[in-house]
Amino acid sequence: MSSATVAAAQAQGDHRSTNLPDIKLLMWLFLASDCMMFGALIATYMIYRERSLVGPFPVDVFDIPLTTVSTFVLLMSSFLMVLALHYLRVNDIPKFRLWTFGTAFFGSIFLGFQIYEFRHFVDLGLTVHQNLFGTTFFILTGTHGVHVALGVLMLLGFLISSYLRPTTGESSAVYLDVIALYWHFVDIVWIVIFTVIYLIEFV
Amino acid sequence: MSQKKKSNPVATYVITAIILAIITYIEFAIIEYEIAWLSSAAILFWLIALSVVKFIMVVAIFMHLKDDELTYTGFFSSGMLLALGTFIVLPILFTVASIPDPIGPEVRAQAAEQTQEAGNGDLSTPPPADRSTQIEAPGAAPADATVRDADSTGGQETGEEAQAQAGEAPADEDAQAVADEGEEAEPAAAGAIDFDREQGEAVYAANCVSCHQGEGQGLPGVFPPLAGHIPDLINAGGRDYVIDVVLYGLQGPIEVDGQTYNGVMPAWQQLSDDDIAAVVNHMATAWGNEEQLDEFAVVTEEDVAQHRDQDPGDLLERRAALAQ
Repeated sequence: MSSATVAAAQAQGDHRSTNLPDIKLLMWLFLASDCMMFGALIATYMIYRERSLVGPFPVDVFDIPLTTVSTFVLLMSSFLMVLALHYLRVNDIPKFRLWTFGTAFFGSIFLGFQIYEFRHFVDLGLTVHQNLFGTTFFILTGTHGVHVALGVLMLLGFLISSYLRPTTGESSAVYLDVIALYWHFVDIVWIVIFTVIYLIEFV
Repeated sequence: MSQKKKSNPVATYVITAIILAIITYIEFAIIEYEIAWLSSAAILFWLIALSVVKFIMVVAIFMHLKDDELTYTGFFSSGMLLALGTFIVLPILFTVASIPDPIGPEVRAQAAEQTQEAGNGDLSTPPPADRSTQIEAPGAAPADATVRDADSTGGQETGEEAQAQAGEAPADEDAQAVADEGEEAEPAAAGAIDFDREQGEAVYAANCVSCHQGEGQGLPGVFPPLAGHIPDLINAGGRDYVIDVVLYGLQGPIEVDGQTYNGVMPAWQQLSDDDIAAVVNHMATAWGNEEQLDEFAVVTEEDVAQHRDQDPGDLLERRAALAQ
């Protein structure tokens, strides 16, 4: 590689020979590894499903209408996320800020539902060490909740930075794109959890 | 890439969001309003199908994989495939019940029959197909042996005798049981209990060893030992208790050799009666446990079947009663 091409590559900032933004490649790679982590956690939940010796059991504590609402909220936050990214790309900054804030807000509502659900479960006697269901359920949904919380922090951070330095066009959009990928990933993990953990109990 | 989207992407996003919301409502409705004409297998199918549709829509449209570089799709799908593989293979590994019996019950029964014939004809030739191990039961009283000596009709009655000793012998035995008992009629078997040790070892290695360890020594403070402990339980009259713990699991504080344990042992209902009988016999006799047994009636498939139908009661209370 000649020094000219290296210089050209460096001038492009975070672009490399793949001609793809490093940070986006990195995020996809991270999401792939995160897939495996959630895959292992969900598989663990399934292995220990119906093997708890003492209650409360899933059917005693799950509240499907409530979880459906929180699932809906998370799905809609994904929708707001994709809108925010679109409006940043077309340089409509007020709309970008509105929908970014909306995404973080809906994410917070989801977290609120999850905190309420956890507290409610604990009131019903389901703790991490109560039975195998409690252990695997709290570890799985807790890990997911931490992901959502991190996503909310990243969104708010990006929103605040948009006031502090110029945030316009494709060069800034790649960073929001990366956060958006993470956010949608957290959403699809919840799609799986909602079906495999919650709904299947009532089939 | 973004240039490709000449049509207004916002419209696509809105439609996608509406479809996602509708699918979520359908999933909710399927569960909440029980639909009589859908079998539970069909419900399961539709729930999984709907969530796969949601998953793909979010990944393809919201995460732009549909129009984005293939490299990203490659990264993500490799991770997804590994995750899916884990998700499918792990539960299978934990629930497969057939591993301990690689030669199959029919072949086993056949071999047992041959053993019986060979045993009746020429007592000195041990048949090669016999994988069972004969072990001496320390508890077999000399009186028993006398009864057997006097019993001239041979194998079958001796087998029944051994079962009667087990205390829970069902009156009618199926062909398999009769064939098994035929093996006990071999000359060396006076007062011996008989089980397939290889099967017991295999079941133990597949299910128990990860917690209770290779030599049944457990892990102090975490997993209680079986070596040296199972004989104590059985000598205190806990043979039924041991079978029930394997069948129903155990949760709560227990004490073994002055060490306190407060963990969870899962239930092993998915193992066959045959496997549970073999592994209980194995635990009772392996790692020097056999020498510590006062008396032990071999656990049979029928014993386990009987326990499976019974309410085990509070196992912790039963354990406390044994300790006294």
